[in-house]
Amino acid sequence: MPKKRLLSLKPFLILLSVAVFWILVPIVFKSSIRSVFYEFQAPLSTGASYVRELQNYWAARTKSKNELYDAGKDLARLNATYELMILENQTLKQEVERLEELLQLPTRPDYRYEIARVVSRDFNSWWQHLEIRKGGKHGIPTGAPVVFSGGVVGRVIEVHEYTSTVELLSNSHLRMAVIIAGDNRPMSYRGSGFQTLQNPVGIAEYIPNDINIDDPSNPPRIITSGMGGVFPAGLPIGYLRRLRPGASGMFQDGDVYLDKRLARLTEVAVLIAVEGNYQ
Amino acid sequence: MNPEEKNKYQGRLWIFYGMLAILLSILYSGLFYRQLIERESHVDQEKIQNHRRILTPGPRGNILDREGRVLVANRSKFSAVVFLSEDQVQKAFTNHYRSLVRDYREEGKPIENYTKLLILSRAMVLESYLKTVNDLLGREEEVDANAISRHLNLNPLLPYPLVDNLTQSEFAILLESLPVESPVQLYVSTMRHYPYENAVSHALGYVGHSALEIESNMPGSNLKTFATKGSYGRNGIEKRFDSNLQGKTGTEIWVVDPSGYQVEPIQRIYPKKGQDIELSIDIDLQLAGEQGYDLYGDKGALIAIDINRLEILAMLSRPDYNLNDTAPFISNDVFKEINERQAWENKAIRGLYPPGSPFKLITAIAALKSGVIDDGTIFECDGGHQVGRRRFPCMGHHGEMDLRSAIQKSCNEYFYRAGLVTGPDNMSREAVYMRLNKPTNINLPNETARMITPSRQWKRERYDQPWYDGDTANMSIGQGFLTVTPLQLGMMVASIAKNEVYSHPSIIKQSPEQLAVRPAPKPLGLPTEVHKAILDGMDRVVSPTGTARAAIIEGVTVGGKTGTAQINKKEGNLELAWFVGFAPVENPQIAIVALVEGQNLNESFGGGAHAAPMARYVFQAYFDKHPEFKAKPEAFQSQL
Amino acid sequence: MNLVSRNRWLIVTAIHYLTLFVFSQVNTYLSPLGIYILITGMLLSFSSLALSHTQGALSLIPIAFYLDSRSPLPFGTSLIILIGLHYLTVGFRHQFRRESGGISLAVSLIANLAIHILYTLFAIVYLGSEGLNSLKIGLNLLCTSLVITFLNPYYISLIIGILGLFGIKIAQEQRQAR
Repeated sequence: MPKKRLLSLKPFLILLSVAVFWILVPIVFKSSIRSVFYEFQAPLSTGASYVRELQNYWAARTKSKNELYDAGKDLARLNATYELMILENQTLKQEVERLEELLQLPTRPDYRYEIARVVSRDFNSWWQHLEIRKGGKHGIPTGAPVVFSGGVVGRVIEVHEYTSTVELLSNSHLRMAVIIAGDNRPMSYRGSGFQTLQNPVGIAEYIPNDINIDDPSNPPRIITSGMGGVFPAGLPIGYLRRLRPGASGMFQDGDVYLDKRLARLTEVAVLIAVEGNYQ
Repeated sequence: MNPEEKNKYQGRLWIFYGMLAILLSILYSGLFYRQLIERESHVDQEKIQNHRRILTPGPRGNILDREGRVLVANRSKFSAVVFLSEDQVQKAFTNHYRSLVRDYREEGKPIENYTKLLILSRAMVLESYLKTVNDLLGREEEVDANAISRHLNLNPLLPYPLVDNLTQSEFAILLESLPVESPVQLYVSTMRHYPYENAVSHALGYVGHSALEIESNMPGSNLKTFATKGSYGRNGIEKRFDSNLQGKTGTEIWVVDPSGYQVEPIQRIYPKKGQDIELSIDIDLQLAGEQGYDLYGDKGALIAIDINRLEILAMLSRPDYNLNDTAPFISNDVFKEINERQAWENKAIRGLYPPGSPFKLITAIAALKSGVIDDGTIFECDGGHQVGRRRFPCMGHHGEMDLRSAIQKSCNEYFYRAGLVTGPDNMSREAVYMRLNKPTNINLPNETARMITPSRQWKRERYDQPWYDGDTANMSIGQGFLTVTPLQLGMMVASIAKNEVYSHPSIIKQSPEQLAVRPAPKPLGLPTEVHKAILDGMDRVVSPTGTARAAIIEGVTVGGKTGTAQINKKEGNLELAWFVGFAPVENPQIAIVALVEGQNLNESFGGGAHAAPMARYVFQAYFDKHPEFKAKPEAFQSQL
Repeated sequence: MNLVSRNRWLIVTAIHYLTLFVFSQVNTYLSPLGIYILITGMLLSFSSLALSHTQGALSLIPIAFYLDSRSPLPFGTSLIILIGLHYLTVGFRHQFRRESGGISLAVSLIANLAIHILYTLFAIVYLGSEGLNSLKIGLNLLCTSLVITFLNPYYISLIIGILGLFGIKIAQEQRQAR
């Protein structure tokens, strides 16, 4: 009888020994297992992303000639507009450089863009990560800012050989110094998940008390401050909604509504400082 | 056992049961009492042992000028801090301490003092945190091992500052570069900020920091409490309206472990900012006064008063100090430096000076009211007046003088004679009626009450001497024993301008309701014609031929009176330059008093040359903002 | 017991992994809708009920490592959760007819609920509660439960079928064991 009881306890004893074993395993061992498991399955995910693109390609192939002709026309129009904008930007850039030189402002870090396709979007209830198809082999550093046409996407938190993991702007572990467009007082931004199923949100802290949302249809725009040294200045983050008194009594806290497109990104750009290092 | 015996035992058994029942009921009622009736007190006791209260003072309210411009605000002070009682920090302390002890033992070193080793390990942990911050910011801050232990003993639940006073960009760098879960956290507190630096420094006052005053109605009053220091007004508006400006203290109640380190918060009430206060000061006028003072004086005071609302529009006292030097606290060096320059004193309400020639207006009013002269009475000025064995001088040989021309030329002899015929009692009574013997009761702290309006009785009590005619002659030109504050003279000129007697000026902007319930002023008691004659004389003072021509403003009739008073010192005389004035003469809106103290002994100093020009700056600024009170150009032309 | 039978956990792991992979692709497509399907409870249900406790644990360990390699929580969180729940199930499985489809579904749903709760608790500790939204967690739990309810019988029979191809007759073994 006691022997039988002992046998019924066997699974729990094994569980206990596994738990103790796992606690005692050195961190190096754990991190190498982690890396091995990640790299082992990475080609399959990457392969799937290529297949997805192939699907899109074949889907595009089914379009009629007329549709393609119209799309080509639209594209040509857009290209012409963009060429004009590029010229305008170059002039403005020169002007900015001239003024900066006159005012003897410190030079701003230069970035190169590494465009990367999104392999998978891991947006669950607890964290929101993107896996992108560029990694250490492409010179992506940990901590690099990631952007898209609508502004900031997030920050690279892990770099693998051919892929990287990007922490989305809505993650509560992502914190950055931001400003309200037109105001130069830095505030803190931190991700706070998804407010409803589809709305990524963040929290802004240290909002000066004189900031109000006078016109809800035109709320204050939150952009990167550039002061923290990681994100360049002026990249859009989102819009400030709902202010409430902050913990210090001196500032306000507010919800920041992020771009809904963050949830369906297919391509992003990683900003790599030309002569910078990331933490 | 037979039935009898059985009954006998049965009986004893019942007794036993009874006793058991009684004992059990006592036990249970005791338990019941302890668990249910005394439950509250047990819970309270447990709370007291397990809970701690952290109090954070609310930010003070802002101080605004009459147009809502911020004169005093709160500036955020960002710091990088470590909460020493946090779990991860405590673990780091313990681990480091253990490894230190291990190292000592492995190296065979004797451990003489384990406490010292603990202090050292704490310092080393904080040093490693600080190194991260120093590396990110390029700073070279150091850790004070004793300060850590002191902090842990006294305020274990309050943040320990690693780097104080971070700049905005340093704050941004740490925000982006430190991981969210880092033991180094960013902490914000407030300090006073003064955008206009020296302006209105004395009236605004400054704050000091001391133990937070804890209100009894705040939650958790029976718990052990840790509180950040509160800031309290030490002078000026900050002191007088401290209760309004004071923010509402925030409360956090934490569950703590047996060592007193925080585990989790169970109640949080955020601090709230205090009430904003709107002053009657107009910063444009204040800055104009400052500008005038920069050009024409070093020491003294200047006050501008809205005559109709009895509100202070500008108040300046020199030497002054930069209020930003007093925040977040007044360092010993700053205190010493300000003290050496004697810049702490608000001369506008605390400086006592002989009023000099502006007092001649009181002499004239006393003489007119007592009927010994009228506005047409003429006295001959031959450069001085003999009183007993002493000749009292006049600044010129003015010839025949009536009231208007005597005020215009500030003829001493006219007023010696008028004073002598009026007598000291009438003059003294008039000065008292005009409240020159009492503080104005302005809503600022520390207004002096030591001003002197002499009288026969006063002299006898003070010096045990009779009153001489020479005293009367001196008094009639505002010299001798008389002392007043600049604000009193300001109120005097405002009163004369409106033929009423005013007191209780306010440096707080008054609401229409407050203005409506203000007590009615006393009448000055001069017939309109006679009052007009005095105003006429004052108007002539600020004319191309008057002593205060430097205060002429285009398009505005300004009435004024200059003065030069002497302070007799052992080494010689120190001269004071006065100007009191108001405008427009026909519809008085603003009164100004300016005082400049001479810097050097026996240096010639005049109200017309030194005090009147600085008043012009303020008048000009006022009428630039209120062109509706300016006369139309044609009216001005006709006046000329 | 032959080699294949001794290493049946490997076949189960491969099927589990492919299922997780398919669902990671599904989740990528579902992300714009804000829905995330976490079917680990269903995988655990098969491993804990149909395999011996050792084989079950062996089949779950690589899956747990796979999940952990993609998670910001400390490495080993999923391992502890899955192995813990596995042995809890193993400890109680003799109390009921474990080959029954209803029991399998019930275990899947309960494990799914437990996994959601445990992940939320770990996330609160390691990631902070600021980024958590109970509505989203609840809706994802609901969606996942619906998917599991629908898929569980097919998934069980799929694995049994594939194991059958390798000559492993799970149902027969379970009958004999009783």
